[in-house]
Amino acid sequence: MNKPVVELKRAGKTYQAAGRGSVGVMDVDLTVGAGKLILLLGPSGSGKTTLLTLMAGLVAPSEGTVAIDGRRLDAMTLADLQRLRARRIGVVFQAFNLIDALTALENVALVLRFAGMGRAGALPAARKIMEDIGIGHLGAQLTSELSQGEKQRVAIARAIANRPLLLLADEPTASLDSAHGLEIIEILHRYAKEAQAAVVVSTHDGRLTAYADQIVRLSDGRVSASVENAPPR
Amino acid sequence: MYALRILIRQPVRSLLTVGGIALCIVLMLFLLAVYRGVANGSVEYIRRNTTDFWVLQKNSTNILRGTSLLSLSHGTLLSETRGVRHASPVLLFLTTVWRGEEHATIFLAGFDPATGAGGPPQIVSGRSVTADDEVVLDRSFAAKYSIRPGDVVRIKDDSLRVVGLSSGTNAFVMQYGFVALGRAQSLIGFPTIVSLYLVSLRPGADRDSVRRSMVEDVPGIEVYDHATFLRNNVHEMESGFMPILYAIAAIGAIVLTSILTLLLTVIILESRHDFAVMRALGSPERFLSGVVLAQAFVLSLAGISGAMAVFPALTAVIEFIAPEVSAQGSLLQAGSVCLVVLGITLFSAWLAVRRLRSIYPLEAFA
Repeated sequence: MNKPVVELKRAGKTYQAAGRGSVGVMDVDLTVGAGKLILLLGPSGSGKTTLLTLMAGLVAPSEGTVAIDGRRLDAMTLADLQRLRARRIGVVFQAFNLIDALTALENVALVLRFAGMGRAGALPAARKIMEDIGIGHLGAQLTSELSQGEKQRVAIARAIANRPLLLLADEPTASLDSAHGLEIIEILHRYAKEAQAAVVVSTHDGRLTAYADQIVRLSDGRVSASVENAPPR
Repeated sequence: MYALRILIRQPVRSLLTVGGIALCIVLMLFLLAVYRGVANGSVEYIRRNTTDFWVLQKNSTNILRGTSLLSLSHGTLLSETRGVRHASPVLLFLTTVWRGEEHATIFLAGFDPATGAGGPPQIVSGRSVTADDEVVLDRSFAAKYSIRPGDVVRIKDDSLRVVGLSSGTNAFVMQYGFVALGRAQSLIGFPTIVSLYLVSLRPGADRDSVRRSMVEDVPGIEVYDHATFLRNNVHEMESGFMPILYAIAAIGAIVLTSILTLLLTVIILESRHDFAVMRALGSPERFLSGVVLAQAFVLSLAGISGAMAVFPALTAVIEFIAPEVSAQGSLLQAGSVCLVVLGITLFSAWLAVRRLRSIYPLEAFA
């Protein structure tokens, strides 16, 4: 296996609500290597998003450990985690979550600023990234003026702007028609291979399995099955 | 950029906020200018009547909020003190001036026209009093009641011709008028009473020794040098007036803080999802705080600009409507208010930034 980018060992997350524990995920052992695209399949409430937020360092595991690029997240300070998210992790959201007050170009440039790039360098770099994935013409538009498919492409441009080691996508095709959905998974697959990044995609869209190196099925917060796959090269 | 876009997205709300901030700043500027005007106006009469000593009745410290009664015999004794050149009497009392059916209160000063000591510090129209049936009025008093030189006014049963208008004689809550000493004594009904004496010394006289002699030889008096007497009156004016100004200025500052904090907090709550997304994407805390701070400063600087633009015109309008309100602005005052506003801006931003703590990056996945 390639060098592991993300490793979960017996990782679990239990949420406390009204004095009662509610299991998000439990006993998850998962390793994602560089250049691999992993698909997390499962129905709503199965724990896909919780698993992504654990990998993003947004929540601390209640049990077990999560490590990115060999560094355990529980040993990091909040500032370390923030820097990790800004420089090494990209996130694509189901609802795109673009900043409506900004143009598409400014949305992409924003994460470059988070990673420490100066204002003067961020905009040209963002423009180059958008051109690379074929959406350079959208740069000046406010995101509220874009179609759903265009929004998700801008969201992906934003997620990969810092060339992250780990790209997490939460239901990235859920708001798209099938044609646009396939375009998006193709972009994510290509990024995994070209950037030698680990890409983890949560979905319940079975058509995307063709692009996965590994398919992990989740049920009631547990990994119910994990199979290797042979995606197109 | 994000900070500005959010403000521009709600232009009416942002403009109303800037207007509110500008009004608070105008209020503070106006209070300071009024204070300066009152502070100068209240003691200008004393400041400009430069003399070696002010002599008042024992236990009197000032003329703004005190009563001093001396007799003409005090003046005789003072004049006879070695080293004294003149002891010019002044009689001060509040009285009512009538013009037709209209009447108003004035602080009347009776002085000796022959020496001019204790008379109007500056004549801006007409001339000073030379005869017994003449009066000089403060110019803002005259403007308020549409009185011009040549008009006749009544005080008690006496008709007096207005021969001049004075400046430096507006003490905000009262304005000065000037008549000859004899007329003043006649009006008050006690022809041998005065309020104080302005004492000037002969050239070369030793001040300390003259002062000692006056205190020892003239019974029931207080002797102040000019600087001390001026300071006494400034203190009296400030102790009576400043607390009110401070209270109103503090209210202005609190309102400003409230307006700014409220708007910044509303913006944070409206942009809650954006902030959560930024956090999830790895935004440094200082970036998010910087957004709030930038919005606070943009609003405040716009408010300061607006206030500076309208303040001179507003002051002119107020002085036109109420001539007795003497506002004297200065660059130092404007600079001080700007500093205070910038301090309030930082404080408001700090209060609002605390709301950011309750925004979690997980909200981006909701």
